[in-house]
Amino acid sequence: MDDLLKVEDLKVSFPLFKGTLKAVDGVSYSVGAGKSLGIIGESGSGKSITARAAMRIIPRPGVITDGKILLDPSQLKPEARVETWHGSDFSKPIDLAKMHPGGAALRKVRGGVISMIFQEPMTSLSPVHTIGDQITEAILLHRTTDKKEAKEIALEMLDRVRMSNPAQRFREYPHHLSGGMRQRAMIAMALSCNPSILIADEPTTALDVTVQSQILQLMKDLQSEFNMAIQYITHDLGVVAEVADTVAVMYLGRVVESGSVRQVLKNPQHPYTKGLIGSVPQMAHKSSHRLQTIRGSVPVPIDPPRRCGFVDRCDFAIKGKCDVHIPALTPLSSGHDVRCFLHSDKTEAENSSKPHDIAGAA
Amino acid sequence: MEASSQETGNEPLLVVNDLKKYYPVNGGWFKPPSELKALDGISFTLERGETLGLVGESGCGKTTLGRCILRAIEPSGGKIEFLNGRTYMDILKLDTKSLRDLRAQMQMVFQDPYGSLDPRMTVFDIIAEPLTTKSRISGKKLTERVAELMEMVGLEVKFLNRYPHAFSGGQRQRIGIARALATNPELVVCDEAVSALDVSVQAQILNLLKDLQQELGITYLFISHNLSVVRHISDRIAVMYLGRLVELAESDQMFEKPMHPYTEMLLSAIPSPDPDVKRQAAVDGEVPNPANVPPGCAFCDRCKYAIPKCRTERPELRALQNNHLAACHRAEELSLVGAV
Repeated sequence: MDDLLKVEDLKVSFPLFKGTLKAVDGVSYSVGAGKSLGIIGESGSGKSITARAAMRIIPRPGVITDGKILLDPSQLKPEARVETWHGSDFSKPIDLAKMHPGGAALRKVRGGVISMIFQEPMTSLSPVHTIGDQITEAILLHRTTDKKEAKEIALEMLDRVRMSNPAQRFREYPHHLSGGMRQRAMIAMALSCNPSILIADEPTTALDVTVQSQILQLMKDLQSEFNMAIQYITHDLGVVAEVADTVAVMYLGRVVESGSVRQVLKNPQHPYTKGLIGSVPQMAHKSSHRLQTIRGSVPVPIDPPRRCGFVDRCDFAIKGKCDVHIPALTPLSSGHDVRCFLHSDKTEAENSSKPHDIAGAA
Repeated sequence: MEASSQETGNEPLLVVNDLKKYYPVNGGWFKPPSELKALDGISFTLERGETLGLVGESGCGKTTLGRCILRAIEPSGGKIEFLNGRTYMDILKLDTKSLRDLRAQMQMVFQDPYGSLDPRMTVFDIIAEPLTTKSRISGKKLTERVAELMEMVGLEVKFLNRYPHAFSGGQRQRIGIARALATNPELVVCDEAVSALDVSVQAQILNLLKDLQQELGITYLFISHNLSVVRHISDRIAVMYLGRLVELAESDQMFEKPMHPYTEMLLSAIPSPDPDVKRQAAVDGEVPNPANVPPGCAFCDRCKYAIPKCRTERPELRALQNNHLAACHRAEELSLVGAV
């Protein structure tokens, strides 16, 4: 296995009163050590659930119904490997999807191996604990049992995320800090245990553009400093273009297109990706420019029919094909995969026995 | 009413002069009470049928300005003159009744399509409410007008009796727009009207707003933190920083050649979806506490071009070439980098 994290044919569904909501319906992707993957999608595309599945923190009643989340322990940082999986062989990949969500082994993975930062730093930080307490909590769980040492590590982390006056920030509560500073505190917390993979779920969506550019720069710097893989979840194509090496575009629980940033954003092949790029107002556009739109809106995938999820909004839909079969994700050129009948006649059923590898090793 | 004497064909629809909104800040035991200047002397005009974009970081006073113009927030001082028919009326001097009548001419579209619609009212009730209170029409005429409005914003008339929860974010925003247009307003203030929407839906709503403007000749004050969106929809753009306007210009001009260092910084911070465009983000520091604005230019601590004069003397918004206004001491000598 050459990738650090490899997700194969992951399926997550929510059994609801109205039916089964298939939030993630066969997603495969992989992230190489030290690389960045950007997962793009609108609300309802299942991108956040995919990210949460890797940490096994899917909200109830969601369950992983199928698929593998493989982690290669031989590529982890040495300190994360020790004791993490008792008696397991470090040359064999570990399937996180099979671990008990409340078990000790998985608790070691969360924070220690895979860490996560969230969109809204105000709601994901505890308002009744100081910044320092919240960072040391994670350090005490994973790195040391000595409180003094933990405090030193926490202060060093605050310094590394370029917080001014770390000693004072350590004693402050989240409401004392501005949005950008809170996001820095959250990044410090996520990185305090030196994870190999960081999942950033809309890390800059709630921030002003100026603060956003500072935080993205910081994350890029820290990525090379800590040598970690980052999985960005975002709806902002600008953010993806700036930080990601590879991109996966999600629509209705499936990856519809994936490849390198350049392949997907410069040469989009799926009608949805094209529409998405066309509907973003760009700086280079004159004000008279008319935006391209995608008609309709994202449907809710409760007991979805077996057909292409985008068919109702697609201008190029082929009758008798797109509305009865699910297209398979097929390679177009090296590393560039598209799930669309305009490019290949392969349907999902023919291909379902063999999970496909997408987004490559970057 | 002195402004009404200008008998030219295209008088501005709205003239805002030295608008102020101060909030009292309670002092502590040993601290005297002070004032937070949310709006500190804002002046601009809005031409009929144009779109003025208003941008700035959170906390700069964009929303306060939008609401003060409608007098949804009571300003502390200044003058807002609105052209009603042929005469200008000072909105701040109106009594409750005439203000209510004038408000039919000024409407607002809000950011949150979930919070701004009453969940217990049907679409018909929501859109009809301004009509029944302001225009006092009823019966068949009312139903016809509501149906016409729904068609205008691209909603199917058969959804008339549904409740807001049955609609998606984009559709709800359409309902909000239909409600705002119900009384045939001259001015619509869009406060982050597309910020909560997904990009594909955002494009639909932006195109809709543009089409409606062409059709009905509405004037927009379009408030947003997203510069690309603002550029897309606006004829002119005003940039705010800590309660003051720092730059005001035609939108293409501002993006090609900004005249204020703050605008340059904002433009440099926008990530481009084109992976070949490598930007030089030059962002420094954070917005200072608005209750404690430094003397002189409020931006001087973050400005790489600051000179000693900037720390002592506050630059006023002044006209440079081609109707380009900027509040910077060094506006003429600096050649700042735009976005294109």
